[in-house]
Amino acid sequence: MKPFIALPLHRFCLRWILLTVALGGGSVMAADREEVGDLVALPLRNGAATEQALRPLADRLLPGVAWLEPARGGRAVVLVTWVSPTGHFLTKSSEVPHLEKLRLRGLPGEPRRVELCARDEKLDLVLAKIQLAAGESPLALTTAPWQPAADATLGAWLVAPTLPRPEGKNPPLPELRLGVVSAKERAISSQGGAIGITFDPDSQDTVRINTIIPDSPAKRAGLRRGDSLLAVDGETVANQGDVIRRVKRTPPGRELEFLIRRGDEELRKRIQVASRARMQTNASGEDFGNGGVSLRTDGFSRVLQHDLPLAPSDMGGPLFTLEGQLVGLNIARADRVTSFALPARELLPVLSAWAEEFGFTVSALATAVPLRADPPAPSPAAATGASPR
Amino acid sequence: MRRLFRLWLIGLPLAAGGMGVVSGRELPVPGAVKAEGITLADLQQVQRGVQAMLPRVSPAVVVLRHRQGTASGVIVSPDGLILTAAHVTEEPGKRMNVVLADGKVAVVTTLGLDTATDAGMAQLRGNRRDWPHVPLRRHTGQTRVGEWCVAMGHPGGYDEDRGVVLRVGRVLKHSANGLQSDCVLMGGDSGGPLFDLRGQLIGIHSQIWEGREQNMHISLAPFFRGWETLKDGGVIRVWSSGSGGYLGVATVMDETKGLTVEEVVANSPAEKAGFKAGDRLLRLDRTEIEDDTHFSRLIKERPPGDLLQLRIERGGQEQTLEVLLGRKPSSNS
Repeated sequence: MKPFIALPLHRFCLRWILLTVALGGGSVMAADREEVGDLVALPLRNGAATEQALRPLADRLLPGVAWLEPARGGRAVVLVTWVSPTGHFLTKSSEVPHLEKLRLRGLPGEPRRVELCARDEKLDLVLAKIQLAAGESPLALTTAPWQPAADATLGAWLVAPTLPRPEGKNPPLPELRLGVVSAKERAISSQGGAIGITFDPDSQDTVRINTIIPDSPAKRAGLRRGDSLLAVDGETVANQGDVIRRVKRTPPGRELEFLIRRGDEELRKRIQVASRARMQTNASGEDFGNGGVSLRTDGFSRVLQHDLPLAPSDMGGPLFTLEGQLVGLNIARADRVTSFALPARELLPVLSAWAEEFGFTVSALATAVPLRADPPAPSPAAATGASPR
Repeated sequence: MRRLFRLWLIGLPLAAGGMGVVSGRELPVPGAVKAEGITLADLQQVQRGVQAMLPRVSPAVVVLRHRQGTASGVIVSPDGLILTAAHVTEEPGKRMNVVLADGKVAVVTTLGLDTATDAGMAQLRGNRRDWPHVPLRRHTGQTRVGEWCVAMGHPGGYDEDRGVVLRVGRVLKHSANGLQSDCVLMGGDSGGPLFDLRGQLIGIHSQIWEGREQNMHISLAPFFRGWETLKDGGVIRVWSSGSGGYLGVATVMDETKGLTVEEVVANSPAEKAGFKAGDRLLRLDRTEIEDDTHFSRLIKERPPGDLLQLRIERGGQEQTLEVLLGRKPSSNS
């Protein structure tokens, strides 16, 4: 067997140029990059071998995968995690500030309207529901096999659904991704908000935009170099410090209204604030094969870190062990090597309170009992999962 | 267009904790993954293997810091020898700070480096003789495409709450001096260890391409080849590559021109045979030369003392040069 595909190879000179980018008080070194020619990359999907290994899990878990996308059509925004046969689900709140403009896909039939129930800014969760047809339960397929959540320890395999980019006109087909718990469970403190602009460093008194970071809220909102900021959420801003303080203390995910002067025009723009740390990570707009990072990547009281290659639009979906046990809900894609999930037990108190308030029974997570002290006993599902059908 | 990035020392604004990643150059190009039948039970076995080796190897994974940069390294001997990447140490005899797995800070002196393959070494200072360390996989040829591997390191720098970061994947390609895996790496991982499932070191993180499965590691081959030189603080700039015979040319691959001699080492077999910078390498004996990796492999397969015929083009004229392969040098600094 020939182990490699023969490819044209390109070798580059041994030079790199370091440069310093001043950004938000810290300097970030970046360097010159070399463009390269034909490079055959592996498709970002599972190989046949992995596919085969995950088949028993995929058969059980994938039919329950649903996602939200714009009502007028377009790419998926987030996945959802079903919590009750009444049609209630959870997802990542900061990715769906205008939930009413979205529709739920993944169930048979037409896209469904969604109804906002509640938001929890601390956990970055939103509870919403769809109207089910008589006799319909989208969860019949998914809730039954879900087992009590185990604690996932460092090095434990995990799987989660992902929605690959659709090919052609066909709707996207969910797949499972595989990875491991890659670091200690911990809190991720917030460094505040940012929208991805820098000001002219020489003149403290003008509030004129000097640069706009690629892949930032400011860029998406259409701000331009040379725009002057006049007010933030109705408060007049006199200098750069005013703007920086105002934006920095806004929790990532919230929207701010900016009054802007462009030439002779005055414009109002609503801009959703992103995590400041995320802006620093991605100041050069380089992506490193991530498919982007989430708008909000920090400010979590407790997260499970894993290395599953997920996209920001895969957040809000469930995370399982190899035995098909639910361990958490994916909450942030932070960088090339890092995804965060809320451990199931971390969101259970909030979910239980919501269940009471909105009158539903939690089926998916109701049995997610913390199992901190002892390793989980092998469950019947573990046995089923281990033997390929 | 895909891009290549060095997993460089990332500029670590220590106060702000932000991140950025730096730069790139060569190393191999992705190949195919060998598709083997794996089952869920296999994955569970891998999980057990990884979890069993973690406590043994984690204490030996360290952070290397220099000015604003941060990278990784791994201790491989009880007296504190560290393997890392050459682009991390940059030069011999430099002082760098090390953060150990328990958060304690120590100091190293950088040793030699091999800029051709990016292999680097450093030595922990002091008289301690009981450093936590990891074993090396001696037989580099045993590393198989499709084999499971475990990457560790400190992407983004040391984070006490997070600890060392683990990634599991498979070896996708094995070339003369390098490995490619789908263990995702990023800035700050440079110099960190790649292990097999038994916890033996098989590679050192070097650089990434943009694709998530395009993570490049230095294999242990160049470390073993240059071990004494590197330990003595020597700088290796050119290898004939591989463990076979020595030719003494540095080559550059160009899409249109093909493989060209960039530099001819003084007193090398190549110089004695009359090679000059700019010569295009066409054929070795009867084999068409495809690219630099292919050429390296061809040379590596031939022992010192072998007589080769190399068809080259110089100034529009083709000619054949005969060269007697020599023994690999310890250093050419």
